[in-house]
Amino acid sequence: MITTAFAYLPSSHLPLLGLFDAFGDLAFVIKIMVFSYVLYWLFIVFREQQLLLGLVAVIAAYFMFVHAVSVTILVLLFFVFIVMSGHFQFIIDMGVLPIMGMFGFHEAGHGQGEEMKMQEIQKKMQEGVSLSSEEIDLFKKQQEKQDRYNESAHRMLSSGFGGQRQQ
Amino acid sequence: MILFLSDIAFWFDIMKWIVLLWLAYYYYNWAKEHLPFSPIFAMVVGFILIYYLVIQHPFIGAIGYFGWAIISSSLLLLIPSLFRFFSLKK
Repeated sequence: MITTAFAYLPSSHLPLLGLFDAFGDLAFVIKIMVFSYVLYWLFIVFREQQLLLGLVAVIAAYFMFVHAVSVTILVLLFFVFIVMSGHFQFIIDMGVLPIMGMFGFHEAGHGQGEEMKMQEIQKKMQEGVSLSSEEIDLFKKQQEKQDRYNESAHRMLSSGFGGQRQQ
Repeated sequence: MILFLSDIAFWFDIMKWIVLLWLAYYYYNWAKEHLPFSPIFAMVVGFILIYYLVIQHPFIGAIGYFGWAIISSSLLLLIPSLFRFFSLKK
């Protein structure tokens, strides 16, 4: 469908649109590669049953010709969520979110600053220095956070495997 | 006499051919690995990949190869450790 849409573009009049020819070629190559992947998985599953392999290969080819875009999207989703999921999750948790936090779009990067402030507040409290209203607010917020965390941890431990282990 | 060796275009050409040959080998190998049940089919798919991704669109083929090499070499997993050099603590 995508390739036919590109075929109607007047690429001969607009040299820059020659790019679309490349996209058409790429679409074909991606289809071939996805079909190869599907065949590879089918081969692994039906390695012992040659007849089934043949039948399923024909069905896969039919799906590839009729619903190439949907099959490609499915294979891509499989790759992103199953094959590469660990990679992406680690990069998002440890790389992307801290970067967003540095620019104020996520709380991942703020934690460090608050931690430092809390240490200063505790030091002041030990020394008996009076706190400003901002510092008191921060202290209360941290206390509430801690309480919430303790409560949820307690709830988790007292249910499920934690509870069974205690009994 | 050996001045041609200092010609940057000469070495660029050599490198270009090495990269193209490597790409062709990589894509043919990809076809062979993913279609182990049929050598003829592997050859057909390998030829299609080489024709489109090495001969027709070598830059797209190179981006595909190097992108996949970066992802699968887990080089990206080292990115978070770069941020240890830029701590926010004051």
